[in-house]
Amino acid sequence: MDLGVIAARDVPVDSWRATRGRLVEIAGRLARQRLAVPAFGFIFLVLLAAIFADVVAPYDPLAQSPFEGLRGASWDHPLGTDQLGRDVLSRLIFGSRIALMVGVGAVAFGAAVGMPLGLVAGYARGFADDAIMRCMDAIVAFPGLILALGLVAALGQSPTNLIVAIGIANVPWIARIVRAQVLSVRELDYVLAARGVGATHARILRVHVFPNTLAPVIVQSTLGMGYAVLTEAGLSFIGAGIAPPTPTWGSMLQFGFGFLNRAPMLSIVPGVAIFLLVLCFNLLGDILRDELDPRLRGRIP
Amino acid sequence: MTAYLVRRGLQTIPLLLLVTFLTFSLLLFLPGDPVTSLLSQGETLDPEIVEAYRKELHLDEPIPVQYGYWLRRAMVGDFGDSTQTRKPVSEELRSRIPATLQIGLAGFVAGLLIGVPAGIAAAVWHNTVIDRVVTMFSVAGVAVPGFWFGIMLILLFSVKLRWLPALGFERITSNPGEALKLMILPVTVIGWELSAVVTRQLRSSMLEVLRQDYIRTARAKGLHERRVVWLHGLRNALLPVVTVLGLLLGRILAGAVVVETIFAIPGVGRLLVGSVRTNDFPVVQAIVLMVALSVVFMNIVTDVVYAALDPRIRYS
Repeated sequence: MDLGVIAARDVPVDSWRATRGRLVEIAGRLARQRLAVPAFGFIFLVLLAAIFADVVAPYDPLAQSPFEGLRGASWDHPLGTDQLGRDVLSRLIFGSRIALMVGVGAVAFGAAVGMPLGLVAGYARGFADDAIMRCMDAIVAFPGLILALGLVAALGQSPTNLIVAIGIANVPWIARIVRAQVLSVRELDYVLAARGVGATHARILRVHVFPNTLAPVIVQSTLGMGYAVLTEAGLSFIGAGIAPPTPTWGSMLQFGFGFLNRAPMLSIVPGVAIFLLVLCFNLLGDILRDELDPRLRGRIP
Repeated sequence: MTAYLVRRGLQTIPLLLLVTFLTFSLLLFLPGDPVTSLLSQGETLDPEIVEAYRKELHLDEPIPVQYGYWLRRAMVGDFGDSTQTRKPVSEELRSRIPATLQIGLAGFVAGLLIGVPAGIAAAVWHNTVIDRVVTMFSVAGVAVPGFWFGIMLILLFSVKLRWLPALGFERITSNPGEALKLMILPVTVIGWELSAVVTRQLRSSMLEVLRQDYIRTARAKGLHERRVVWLHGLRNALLPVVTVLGLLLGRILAGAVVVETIFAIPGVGRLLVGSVRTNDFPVVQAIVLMVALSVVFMNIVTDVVYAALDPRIRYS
């Protein structure tokens, strides 16, 4: 059998296996990074809180106690109560659901739309490339929060609409990264060999090109997650996010702002939660990027 | 340079068309009949009025034709009337621009005043305590929500210490003393967010430049370190920072939305938030377009400045 054919047949398996092997290797290196463990740990903690909110939260986040409004920290209410006597800790725990749901949803939407666009643009080149990338440039011209506000105004306020409104801002970044990766891979020997033995475009894209785009997309998605959490909180804060009484960190801040004088904890607590979650996503993204880019390996993030 | 300007100008035309089309298409997402959203606040309208309005806005035509008419009106600044105040949108906007401009410009200057020295210090004293502190602040600067930072500033400086007023706005031209006092907190919020971007960008480009041969040559011929850093280093390191100007403008305008809401500043950002809440769609559409066009314009200016500073760009 011709050697080129053997190589072309073997590569698909290798390509996937290499990607998987690389991810395992990165996970190992990440564990040795000083900041990666606490960053990942905090995200995991928030994830657990979100999943098991019903079990972990001491009170119903919507239960009002009119006579217990604006209480400070106590054994009964470790983070105090808000103006309607609702337990702040319980609202914080339930609020993590929206933060993570919108964060993950927006990034997933960005990847689901951006990756195919980037693949097609980089692989087809020519007119398709120009048309897709000019559209991406146009979306980048809208600052994320403003675009999200415009879309929320048009679509209405619901969790799904919020995910789409915030996720759209991720699409161009994912598409650009995937396209750049495809451009560098498409002329490599094993892709040419696959083309030589008559593999279809769909197969080349799926088996040879796509696995190579995963690593940078993971980095961008991690960074995008922090951005999405921040945007969701911002939208909720200005009253354009998920409508009350559903607890969200941004809306908790908004309500707390009115009682800054009497109960500053109402404003401090959700802000710290947003800050830590975004910081952890950003740190993890930075560390991943450094680990995936051999040129940066060994430098501090 | 002329050839470059022409090329850059031609490239902008499709981008402008796409940006305007995207803004126009927000209208297509409106649930139900767009006329109802554009004209009223939920009350039932006389079908004859609805029909007349539909004709006037060409909403009975195919979408590309609708876009053409919309674009023609948008080009002369006609976005219709606000559904809230019934005044022309352009008039509403015009009255709000000065406040945003004042806070945004001051925030931009503040961002550079913090970001440039911090970026240089981090690069010059690479891997020292200074570098770590600066890096920590710039990482935190990106993660701290601007609205929360603003609230914390109010809590500290207005509620606890009572040093500064928390809310309100004064034009710098009418009452400079009071205006400056009112501007300190909002400008700090915008400046802090921008400085995080500037610091990161400048630190990395400065590190790159300081490794170059010409810096080694400058040192080898006995130049004072200060001269090497400021004259030979900074001049070249600032170039890549110019490229993020468009990004910074986007950040200022997005920052204006939250900052104006917190500090009760009557600017474009607060108008946008109010209009989203009251479903005043013509105003929302006009502001979204204005912001996107400003970013596109800023990107062109950035490219031209970059090309003027670096001949390699012009001829590539």
